[in-house]
Amino acid sequence: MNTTNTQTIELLCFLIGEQAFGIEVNYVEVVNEKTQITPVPKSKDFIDGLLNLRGRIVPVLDLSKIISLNALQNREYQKVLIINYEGTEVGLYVDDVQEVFMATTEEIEQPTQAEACDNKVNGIIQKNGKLVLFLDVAALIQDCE
Amino acid sequence: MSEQSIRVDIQNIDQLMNYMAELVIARSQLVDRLKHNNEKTMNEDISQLTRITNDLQDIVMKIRMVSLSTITGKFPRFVRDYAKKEQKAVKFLLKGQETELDRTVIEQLFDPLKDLIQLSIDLLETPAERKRQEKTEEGYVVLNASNEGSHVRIEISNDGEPFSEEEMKENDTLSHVKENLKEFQGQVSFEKTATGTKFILQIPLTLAIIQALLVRLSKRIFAIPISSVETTFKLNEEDVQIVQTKEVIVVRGQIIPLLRLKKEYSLLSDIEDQNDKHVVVIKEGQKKVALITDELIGQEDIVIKTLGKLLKDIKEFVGGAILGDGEIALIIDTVFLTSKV
Repeated sequence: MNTTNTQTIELLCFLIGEQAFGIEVNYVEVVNEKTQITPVPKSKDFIDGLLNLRGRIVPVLDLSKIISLNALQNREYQKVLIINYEGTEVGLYVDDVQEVFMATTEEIEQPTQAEACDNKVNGIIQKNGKLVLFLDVAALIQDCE
Repeated sequence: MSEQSIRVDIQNIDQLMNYMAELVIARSQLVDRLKHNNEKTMNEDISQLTRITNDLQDIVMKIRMVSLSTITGKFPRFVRDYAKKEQKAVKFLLKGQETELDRTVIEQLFDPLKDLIQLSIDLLETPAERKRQEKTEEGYVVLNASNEGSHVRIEISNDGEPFSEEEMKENDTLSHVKENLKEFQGQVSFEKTATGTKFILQIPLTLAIIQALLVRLSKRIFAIPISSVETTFKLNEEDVQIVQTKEVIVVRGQIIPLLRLKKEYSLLSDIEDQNDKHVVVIKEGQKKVALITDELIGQEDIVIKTLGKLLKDIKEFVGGAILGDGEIALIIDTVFLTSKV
């Protein structure tokens, strides 16, 4: 039955706590050390503040507050992953950035409702016995607007 | 003799703007670094860099300036058609159309001006009614633009029927125009004249670079557009009074509502804040607010940058600016603050 073409996706793996996430590499711009973040009064809870990225002002999001990863909240992050979705630049706090890996569409399993994290996760990938949550960047950015 | 002109691709202008913005930031950075490093010889370099950036700034601004006539050309026809539809007799005059404004501002000015012209025609009586009142059958609507410092002032006046203040405050068109102008820091007000009504628009010449007063709240630096600052002084807590549960301060006999910005923005205090506080009185139209800040840092040219799509709902700030040391200062929306209290 399964005759659909298998596609390969290139993903960057990053960690928030022990939880691994995968994000399509073409959305990734750069990984920076966390520098000074300017909080914005009256902004949404998940927007931690603003970052000066070579003269551009970029909002930094706390992913754990968007997808309700309670166990991971209120961390002292060290790094910011800058992503670019259709011209909108956004920073995501991460603890560590790991390797780039390839996954075929067949390897991506449908998330359960709990795993789907409010539709911000496209699927689940098993990698070296670990579960990697495959982020839906479009849904993430659009819902945050 | 006609003036020579060129067509310039808007993308190129935008690019030039970006380069200029970087240059201005670079200058601030350099100045900041040198402040800590008393090298006298470098002062010449700084003054040169300052001169270059000022020149560049002027030239780019000039390129971006277009005359008001680029949008007002369509109005005579609009007035004719609308007056006919409403069965009014209107004499429409355009004055000061050579007044120049930033291209981005002018593009956004078309709708508000059209709305106010339409409202002005609405306020004119029918020819029969005017005749009965012994006025000329033809009413007038005049659009007059002029330069006023860092602003352009556009007046739209008519000799129609008098209005009540209440009517105008609840007028949908006027609140719509107000909302439209807010996007580029413009303001609209109205006044009764001897013969009718006058709408007054005040539009900033340009948006990209403004002079701002930098203030400190707790550990953060915020920017207040200088054009909205009326006065600053050291706070004497004894001058603060309570009127109907709200704090006010009396400045030269005038009672002005007080806003403790740090509290407003939920910023934590720290030990430094035991020092004297400073008041910045801002003014938008007739409304004034006294803002309490921890420290006045100084005046600086800042490049306004948008906070982006994710923060588009924030009403408190018009954007952000990158300071010499790389820190981001949020730029306070003075129109929003004064409308709040």
